[in-house]
Amino acid sequence: MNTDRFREEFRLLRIEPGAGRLEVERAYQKLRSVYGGESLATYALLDEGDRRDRLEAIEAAYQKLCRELFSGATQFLSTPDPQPGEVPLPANPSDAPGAYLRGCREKSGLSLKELAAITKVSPLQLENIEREKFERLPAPVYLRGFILEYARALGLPDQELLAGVYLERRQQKMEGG
Amino acid sequence: MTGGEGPEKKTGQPGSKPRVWAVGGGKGGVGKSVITSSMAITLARQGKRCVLIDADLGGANLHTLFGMVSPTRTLSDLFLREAASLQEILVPTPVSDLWLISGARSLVDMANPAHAQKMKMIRQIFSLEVDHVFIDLGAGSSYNVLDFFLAAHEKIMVVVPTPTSVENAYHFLKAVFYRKFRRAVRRAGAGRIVDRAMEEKVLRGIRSPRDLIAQVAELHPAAGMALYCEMNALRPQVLVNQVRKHEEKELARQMAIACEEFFGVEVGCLGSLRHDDHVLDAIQARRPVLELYPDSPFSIAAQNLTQSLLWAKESEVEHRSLQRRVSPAAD
Repeated sequence: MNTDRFREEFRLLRIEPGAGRLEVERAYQKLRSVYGGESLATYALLDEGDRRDRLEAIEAAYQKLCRELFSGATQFLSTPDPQPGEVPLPANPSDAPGAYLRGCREKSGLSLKELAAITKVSPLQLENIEREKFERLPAPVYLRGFILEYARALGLPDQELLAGVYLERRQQKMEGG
Repeated sequence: MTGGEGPEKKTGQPGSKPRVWAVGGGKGGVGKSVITSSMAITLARQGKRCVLIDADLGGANLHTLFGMVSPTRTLSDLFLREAASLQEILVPTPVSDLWLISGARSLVDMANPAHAQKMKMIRQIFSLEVDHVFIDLGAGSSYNVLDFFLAAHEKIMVVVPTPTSVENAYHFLKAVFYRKFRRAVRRAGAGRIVDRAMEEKVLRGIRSPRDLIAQVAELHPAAGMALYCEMNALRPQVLVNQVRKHEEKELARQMAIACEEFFGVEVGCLGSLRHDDHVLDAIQARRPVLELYPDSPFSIAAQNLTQSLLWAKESEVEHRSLQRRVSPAAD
């Protein structure tokens, strides 16, 4: 992946060049909350024009990375022979981490059983992870290990971040209901 | 216990310098005094000798949080030359190992201390024979407040999630930044280069201090580097207090990012403290919230915060000394 071309974009998003899609997504969301029109964090620090310019620059950097670096499903996976365009994009990992994991697994052609053999996590638990059945899953400290195993087995990018996103999702869901 | 019992009686390591913490943030009523005193109590309870300075010159009220009567010896005595040193105006608090230096009694006594007096006081703060000194700064962005803030090791800015508080905090931080910046420019001998960059402000696209430092570095790399290093040592830290809503918890981090990008120097994020009615109840009872409601969310969070700041400092020191030990043998 030639990230040199995108050095400026990564700098604007405050992340290391070569960061994965998930990290780019998170950085973008975070900065949007800083420079958005409703944000308290820039109030009286930047004047309105400077704030908007900054937001636009961030927006443009994000769009460019998505368009040119993460076009198609290939970036999500390290499978040997991806066929861009053939398989629909896996779900957005920030919105639906469970569905994202499942999409990645299916794309790699692994069954739950096969993945269980690699990760030493039972097929039932793997399925619970994919379906986000948090109430049937173990406490965060163990769950985190499961997600890392899952991501590692598939060679997914941003493994730590992914585990973090998954646990955040769990917390939201458990608190909400 | 006699009132004159000062910390000098239990000085462990003579000549050891205290760590100085300043808590500011521009606006009144954001919880600076409660936070400062809670931090001081946390460390005093660990047997560390702490001094709390009420630097709200003219509006001193820290004693009230401890249920103490208004101290008769205050900073006014220092400024009016009735007392020669800070040590002489220390007042013991009901918390052991914690002493108070009360602010001036009235605005008239204090007004604006002469620069030399203020500098003498700052020198005395750094030579108090205690482990920690906490300075509760007054509201506003006067030079007095800025100079105490700039002198401290730990510079904490307290904000509440309201536009007025954020606005005051940024006003304060900009004032702090420019005061230090002027000194840094003088020290780096970069006055002419900064002027030149500023003359071409529009042409060079300078819209923030960060842009200015970058442009100075372009014109004169060594001066730019010197400026950056000195300014980066400022390292203010943002703490958001009285958080009620979930999304407000992000404000400290968001402000730290916005500040870093605007000023071009590192800004710390200390996270947030939830709004807690126990604080108000304790103030009304004129008792420290840590004593009256030790298990309240605020008390627990304030102690954790203090401890983590202390640990961060200790690990930084350890890391440095480790590097020193390791580096000669590195290759």
